[in-house]
Amino acid sequence: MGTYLLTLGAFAAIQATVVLGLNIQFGYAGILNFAYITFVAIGAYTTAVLTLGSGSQYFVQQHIVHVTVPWPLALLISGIVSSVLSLFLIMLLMKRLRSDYLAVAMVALGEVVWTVIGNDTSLFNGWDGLVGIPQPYNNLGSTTTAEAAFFGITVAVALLAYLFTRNIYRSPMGRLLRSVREDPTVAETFGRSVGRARLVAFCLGGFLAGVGGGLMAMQTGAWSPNAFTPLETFFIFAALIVGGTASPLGSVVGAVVLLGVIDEITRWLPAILAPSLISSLRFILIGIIVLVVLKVRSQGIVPEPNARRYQQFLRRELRDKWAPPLGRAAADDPAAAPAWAASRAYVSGAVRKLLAARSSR
Amino acid sequence: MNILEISDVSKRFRGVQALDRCTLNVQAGTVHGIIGPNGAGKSTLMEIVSGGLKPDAGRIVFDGADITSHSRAKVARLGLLRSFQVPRLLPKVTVLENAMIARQHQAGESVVRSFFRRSWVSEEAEIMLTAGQALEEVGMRHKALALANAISGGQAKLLDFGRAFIGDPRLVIFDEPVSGVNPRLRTELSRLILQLKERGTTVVVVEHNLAFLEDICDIVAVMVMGQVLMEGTLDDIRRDRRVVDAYLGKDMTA
Repeated sequence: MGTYLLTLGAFAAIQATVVLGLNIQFGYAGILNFAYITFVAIGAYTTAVLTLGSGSQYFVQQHIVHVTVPWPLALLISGIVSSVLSLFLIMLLMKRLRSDYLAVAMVALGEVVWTVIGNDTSLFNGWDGLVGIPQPYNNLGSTTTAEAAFFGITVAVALLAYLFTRNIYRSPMGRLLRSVREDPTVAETFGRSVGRARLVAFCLGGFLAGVGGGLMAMQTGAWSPNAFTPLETFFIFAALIVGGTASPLGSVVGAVVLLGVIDEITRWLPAILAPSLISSLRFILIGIIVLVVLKVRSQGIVPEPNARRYQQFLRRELRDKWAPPLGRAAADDPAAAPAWAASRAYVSGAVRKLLAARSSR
Repeated sequence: MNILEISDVSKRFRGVQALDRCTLNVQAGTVHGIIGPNGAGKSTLMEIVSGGLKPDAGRIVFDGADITSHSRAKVARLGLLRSFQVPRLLPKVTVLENAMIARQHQAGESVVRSFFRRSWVSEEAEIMLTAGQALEEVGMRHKALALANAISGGQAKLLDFGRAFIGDPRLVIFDEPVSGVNPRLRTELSRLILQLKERGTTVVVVEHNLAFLEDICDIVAVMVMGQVLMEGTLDDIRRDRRVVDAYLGKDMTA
């Protein structure tokens, strides 16, 4: 049971990383990337190829990649490869297509990549896929210790991804991305390049997709087109919407609840139905949850931070930034103290007034 | 000195000649009104100036730079701000951040810098205070942390005006700012426009409400059929026969 929970926890953490990536693309910048799972797959294949070892019988190892790199580097490279491919793709497509058309093109792209990889056995061994991808520290004595180690790795990565995503939300770049999401014309009216902002969001999201994909390949030890059917993208979207679009914490909650827990619940259902129907139940269950959340709490379990973020920012500014330097300056130059005190009162007054302006929601 | 020079600009939509060799100069530091019947090409002209449309012919010079084929963003970066007839806000973003977006060239918007809080935090605080003051100016401070989709139409208008006080634009274009606005808010908006003028910002106002223009404008241009029919003070215009026939109608001349 303990091992099972560790494996499940690691799975949820990986899903959280993946959902956080989509959050940057869709939640922040509003890009409908319906080929998101493709970038997860790119990361997974990259990690597989870089860690399988030259001893494996696959074509890519024997003829293209002769090196085997340690797992952290493999993950990093996966993220970068996925990100760079996102960049190429988006430079090709986004110049020509507006958001809704782009979404359709993305669906097509996901299908094409999936079919090509599946049918071309020379590249990644077709539908059979690659097996024997090593999980880091899997030789640490018992299975439980090995799983615990991998759980630790995935949680650490998910935590970093969370901080990364949250940091973007809080920075002025996050505001730029959100303004592009809300109304691209407004962003342009104030001199921002919408294309560039979308590009940035796409690449940063693609990076997390790649890292998450790498971890997925490590956990299952195998990777084939069955692991990234184009439909999977919509489960990631579902997790994002249930958790709270654009909310970094919401992405984590959505991933854990929808992709971690709910996915596993079907396993414990009484076997009233034929076993073959149980797996379909997953689709029905996720569909129902999305509908219920949209009806009851349309902004998701954890809504977008928005105003709260600014209250925190203002408080911290007042405490850390304005008060101490002004105090020091007054101490250094007693003659100027009244002026400093006045400016300090002005600043803190202005900040307090803004703080007092509570949302009327 | 002319801050905006529009020379011989033409624009054709399918069968309609929206602008026909239209020429208009806007002097720096003035409030310039544009009136004219519906379909005269006023909004098309403003859209072309702000980079939303490309003219078929003609030349537009803003502050010494040729902006004829510039994109919206590029025009905005030179300091020309365009405000829309229906205020365009970012609905699921706070009023404060709706105002803060008006400041251009923010350091923290670069990918690398956004990861180093220290490199943008003091600028962010300063922008926030500027935005706070602008909201105070337009009487919207109490709504600073509300989402923009939760404020009323009049408040949206005020917020839209507040944005013009933040980025220090050289020229602001208002497109029918007082259409559907109550008299009290109208007085408030004319006060804000005069305040912008005082700060040295040039203002162009496209408007149908003559009483409003009377309060604020130094000079008014009348556009008819894609051309500027005449320019002058509102009194000159009221006395002009052609304008009366084309736009004002007999009863407005009294």
